[in-house]
Amino acid sequence: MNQDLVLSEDLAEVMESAIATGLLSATVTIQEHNTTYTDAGQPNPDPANWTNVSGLVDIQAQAAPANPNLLVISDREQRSIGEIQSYNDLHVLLDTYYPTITTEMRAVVTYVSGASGLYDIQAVENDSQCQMTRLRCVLVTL
Amino acid sequence: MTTEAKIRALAQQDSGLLAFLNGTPFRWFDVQVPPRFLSDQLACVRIRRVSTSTMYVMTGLQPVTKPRFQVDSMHVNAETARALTDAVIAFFGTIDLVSNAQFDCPPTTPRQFPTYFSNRMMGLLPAPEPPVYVETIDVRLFALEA
Repeated sequence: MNQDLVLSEDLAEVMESAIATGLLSATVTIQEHNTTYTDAGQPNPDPANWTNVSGLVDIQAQAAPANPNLLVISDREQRSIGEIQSYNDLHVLLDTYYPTITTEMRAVVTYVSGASGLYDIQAVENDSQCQMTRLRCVLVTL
Repeated sequence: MTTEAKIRALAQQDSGLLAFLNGTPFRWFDVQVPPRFLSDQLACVRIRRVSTSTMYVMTGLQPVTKPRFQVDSMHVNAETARALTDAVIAFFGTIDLVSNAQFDCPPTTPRQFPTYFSNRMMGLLPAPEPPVYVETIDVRLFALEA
C-alpha cells in the first residue's frame, strides 16, 4: 500500500484532533531507575533512585481503566490467606509517538483532579503509523 | 487470653520490635496483613499457627501444648526484612508462655524461655512495585492452652 498519498497527511491529524477535543486531560511523567543495588543485591527501592526521563515529563495523556470487565471502573481486590492486594489497571494514551519508553520504566499519572499514582508499565503499545503510544499500566497495593 | 494474643501483647513491649513496628496499630498481624501498610513501605510482621502438638497422660489431655508458628517479617527492603527477623528471633527468646510471670502485676522475668527455631527462609511478593521481601521463620514453643 502506498502511504505517500494524501492519507499520510490525514494520519498526522488523528492525534491533533484527539488533543483538540480536550480529552487528554491527564499528564504523565516517565521515570527510570538508576540501577543502583543494595549491598545484598536488591535493586535499591529508595524513591530517590527513580528519576524523570528527559523529554518525557508532563506528557498530555488520557488515562482510562483497562479492566477487561467494562462494568468495573474501580480498583479490583484480590484476597489471599496472607494479604489483600488491590489492582488498578490503566490504559494511558499519550499525545504522540514515544519510541523510547520501555517496560523497565514507570509512569507517574496525574489526573485532572490533581490526584496521582505511580504505575508499573506492563506494556508499551505503538500504533502501526507511529502516531501514538499507549501504555498498559498497573498499580498494585498491599 | 489466647497464645496469639499473649505473643502480641509481649511483642508490643519489646524495644527491638518497637523500633520496626511501632505505630497505630502496632504492625504485628494475625495471619493476614491489612492493606496499605506495605505499600506505604512500613515493616510488618504476620504470624500464623501452622500446627499444634498436644500431650496426653493417663488422666487425659494436658494443658501444655507445643504449637508451631510461621512468622513472616515483611518490607520492601530485603535487608530491613532480615534485620526485623533478627529482632523477632531475639524477642521469642525472651518469652515463656507456660508461666504467667510476664502477665503478673507487676510482671516478672520467667525462669525459662522454651522457644525453638526450626527454619529460616526468604521469599518475595512480586506484584507490587517495589516488590515486598518476606523472610520467614518457623518457631516452636511451649504454651499453656488447655
